[in-house]
Amino acid sequence: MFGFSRFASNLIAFRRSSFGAARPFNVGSARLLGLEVAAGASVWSTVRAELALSTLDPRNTTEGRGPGNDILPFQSRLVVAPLLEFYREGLRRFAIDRLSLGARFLYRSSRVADPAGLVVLPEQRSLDLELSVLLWQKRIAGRFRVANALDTKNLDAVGLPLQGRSFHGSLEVWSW
Amino acid sequence: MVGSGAWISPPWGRSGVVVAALLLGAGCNVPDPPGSTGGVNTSAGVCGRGVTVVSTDFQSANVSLVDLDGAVLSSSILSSGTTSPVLSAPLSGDLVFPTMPQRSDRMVVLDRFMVSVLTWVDVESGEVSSQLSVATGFSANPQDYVEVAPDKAYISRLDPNLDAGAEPFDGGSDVLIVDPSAPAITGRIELSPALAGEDPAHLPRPNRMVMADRKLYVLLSAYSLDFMSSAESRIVTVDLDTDTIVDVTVLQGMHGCGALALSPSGDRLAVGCSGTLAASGASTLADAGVVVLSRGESLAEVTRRPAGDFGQAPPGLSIAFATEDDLVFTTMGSFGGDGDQAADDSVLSMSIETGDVEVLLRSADAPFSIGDVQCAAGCSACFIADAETQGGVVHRFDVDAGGALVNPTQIVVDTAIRLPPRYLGRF
Repeated sequence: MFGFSRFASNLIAFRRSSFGAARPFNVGSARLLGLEVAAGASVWSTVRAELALSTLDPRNTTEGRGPGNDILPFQSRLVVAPLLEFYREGLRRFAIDRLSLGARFLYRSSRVADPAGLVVLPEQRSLDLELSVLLWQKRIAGRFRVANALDTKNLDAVGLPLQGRSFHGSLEVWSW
Repeated sequence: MVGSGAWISPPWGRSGVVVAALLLGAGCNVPDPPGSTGGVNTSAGVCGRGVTVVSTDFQSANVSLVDLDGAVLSSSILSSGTTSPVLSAPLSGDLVFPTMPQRSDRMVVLDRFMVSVLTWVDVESGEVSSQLSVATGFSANPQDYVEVAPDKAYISRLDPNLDAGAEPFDGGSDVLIVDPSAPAITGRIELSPALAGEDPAHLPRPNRMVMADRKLYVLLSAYSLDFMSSAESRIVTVDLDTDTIVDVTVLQGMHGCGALALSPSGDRLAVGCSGTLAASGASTLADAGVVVLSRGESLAEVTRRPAGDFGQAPPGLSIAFATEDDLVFTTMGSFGGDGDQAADDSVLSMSIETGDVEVLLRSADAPFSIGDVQCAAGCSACFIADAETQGGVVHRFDVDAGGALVNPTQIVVDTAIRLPPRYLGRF
């Protein structure tokens, strides 16, 4: 568990600088308080669970700030990413060193996209599934992943759309 | 921490973890933006219903409605947070209203740079009724809108298309003809003939427009592509029956003209010119000023005042007739090298007959904080957007019999979103 606070000066905002033009200026200040948690456990040599959690309170503390909203843009106040994996190791008969099936869920709370808090990027949920196998003393690794298996509409850090459900495969071969 | 072993149950139990997680998730979403406060059902009087106010920090915007007495009718009829099945393009932070009053039951909002979309809103319901992109494949930057009939309107587009020819009506730096009832683009008026004989580096750059007696007057600022040089500004007269240019009036010695107003009788035009844009972002005073012209078969200059008469700042982008013989206009301040205010914004009133000038307002610390001016001369009221005073207010003045602006009051148009007011229109 890790807690932090951060104070920022020279926060960037936009001001009109000429007719018909606005440009960024360092005009304000901000305060961020946060808590991060990372934990994991494995039981019966079969199940592994992990949890990563991040909470944040990002506030614009500029004196004389205009808009009623004081939450900084593009900052989620909660991000949770749990992992649950089922695995078996040492299946010698099939030359398999490790076989696993895992699911990772990502939750990101809603964010504002502008200082006034008028544009809200909705909360997001995404589920990734991954099947992996390690063979021949882990010299060969094969992975197959379904990203965003629920095909939800997600946005990146600044609000641009991300791809929907997608399929990924990889094969690694090591020789030594 | 990752390790192997048995699960360790927390003291509050697994169900408690789930409940805590749900509460944490619900509490960590940001608040929903304030909703629309709806339209207005007041009937239009001789001066219309009132004033439209765009409040913006250039990233998002809010639209409010105020009546001519200064009462807030709707603090947020529309904003960047508005969602609607009709609204395919959310509203940006660069919204303006037309220069001329909008007298129908729908009002149009122009979303300018990068978006280039017109949004029509029903005044009574506050609902978005339709949208039209006027981008035609490039960032067209629409500046003004004049509706002459339910199925015909004109839109000035400031920016040129450097790769025109890919689709119909995609030339840019022109006047577009649209059918608001569809809505659809139906035609285009090429403005480059108005710059015949000038350096081809200078583009028409149309901005504000007004209409009188079946004639459309389009103000051209004639800037180059990078806005660093310009030809003399000019007014193009377009015949609305033929959609052709019938006259071009060059404003001799005036550059960077971006403010235009029609007098209450319709007999005069007033133009504000900001001069040549210097590399610092400030404008020069030598080729800036205010020009008043009379309408007739062609435009004729009545009087002009150079910007040097007004102090250290050139006229801004907004001018209005308080009476047939009295003008109200803004001047633009500037930033110094240290980012502080080098020259302040101001609002001036000027008698056309005597040339007497009076200062009505000045910015305290922030240049470019005084925005548009709008007057309802027939109802003796003028309004000025001020993004600085008390976090942003709209000033209202009575206009007395002598044309002086008196009895100032301050209007806070919105207490929930609290963006600063910058642009005004009439509806």
